[in-house]
Amino acid sequence: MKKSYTTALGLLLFFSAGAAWASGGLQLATEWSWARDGGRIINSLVVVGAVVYIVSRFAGPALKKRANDIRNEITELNEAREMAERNVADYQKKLEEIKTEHEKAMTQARAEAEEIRKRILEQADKAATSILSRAGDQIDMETEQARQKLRKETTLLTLAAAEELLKKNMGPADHKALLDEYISRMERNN
Amino acid sequence: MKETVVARRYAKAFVEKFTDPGSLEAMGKDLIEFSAIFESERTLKMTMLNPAVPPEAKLAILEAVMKRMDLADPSRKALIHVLRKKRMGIIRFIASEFERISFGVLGKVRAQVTSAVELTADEADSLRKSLSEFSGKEAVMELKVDPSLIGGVVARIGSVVYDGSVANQLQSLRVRLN
Repeated sequence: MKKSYTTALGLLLFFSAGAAWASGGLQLATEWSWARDGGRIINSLVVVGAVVYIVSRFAGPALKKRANDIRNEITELNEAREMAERNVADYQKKLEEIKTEHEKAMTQARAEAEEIRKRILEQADKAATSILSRAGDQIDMETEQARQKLRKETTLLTLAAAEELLKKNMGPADHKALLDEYISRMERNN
Repeated sequence: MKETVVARRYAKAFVEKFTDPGSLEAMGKDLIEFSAIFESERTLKMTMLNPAVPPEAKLAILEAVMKRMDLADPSRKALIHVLRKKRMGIIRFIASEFERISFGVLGKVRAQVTSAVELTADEADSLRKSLSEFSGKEAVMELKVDPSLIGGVVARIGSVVYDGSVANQLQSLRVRLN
């Protein structure tokens, strides 16, 4: 394409230069001369004809081809643009879908997280209640144990004191009374 | 266990041989007294149980001891028999079994009585009567004193114990309150 234009331009310059030379240059003329002015006109017509011929012979098809190429390119580009627009629309649709899915997933995740949080809180609450209850029971049990231990120790101390008192204070009359009681108990059981 | 079984056989044979109640009672006392001396006198026991000492020497020693103790004839015969049968090592079991079996024959029962203080004769008599009534047999008491009882009496007849001691009452209280 580029080569056709270069050739056409070269030929145009060649014939223009030849016509100019053939005419003997541009002279100031005040009177009409068929030889001179007629020649100049013929030369100009030849040059114009050559130009028209060259243009119609070389530049026309090239330009037509170029226009077709441009048209095709435009068509291709349009198609590409439409495809790109379709792709963009698809992507946007997909993006919207993803966005919707994301929103949905986020909502679900939030709901699940909330559910889990509630469940954990409930479990923690139950565990805390149970621990408190157990601790209460443990305290009650230990208090009861301590009370029983104290009672037992007090009783044992009282018994030890009673034993010591009895050892010190038991007299013959007491021994006699105990023996009589023993004998009467045996008689009762007999 | 084995000694008791063998001793029971000997005791039974002696009771069957000496059926007179007077002899049985005296013999029971003699055997118990002899077994107590035999167990407490270490030299006597070792000599009588030593296989190196000739049987004649053992018999002479036994005769001397019996003479010293002034034992009745049935008791002497029984002890000589035990010596000849080389059963002097279980004399305390034989004496104990003899007493038990003869008491059964005589309608008596041995009561081991422990009191916190020594009992007077009247107290002991009252207790003996009471124990006799309770057991349905004539109680022969063996008295002991144990101040750790604090007060009261503990009587043991066979395998039955009648505990009326203050120490036992305190212990029962301790157990119940624990």
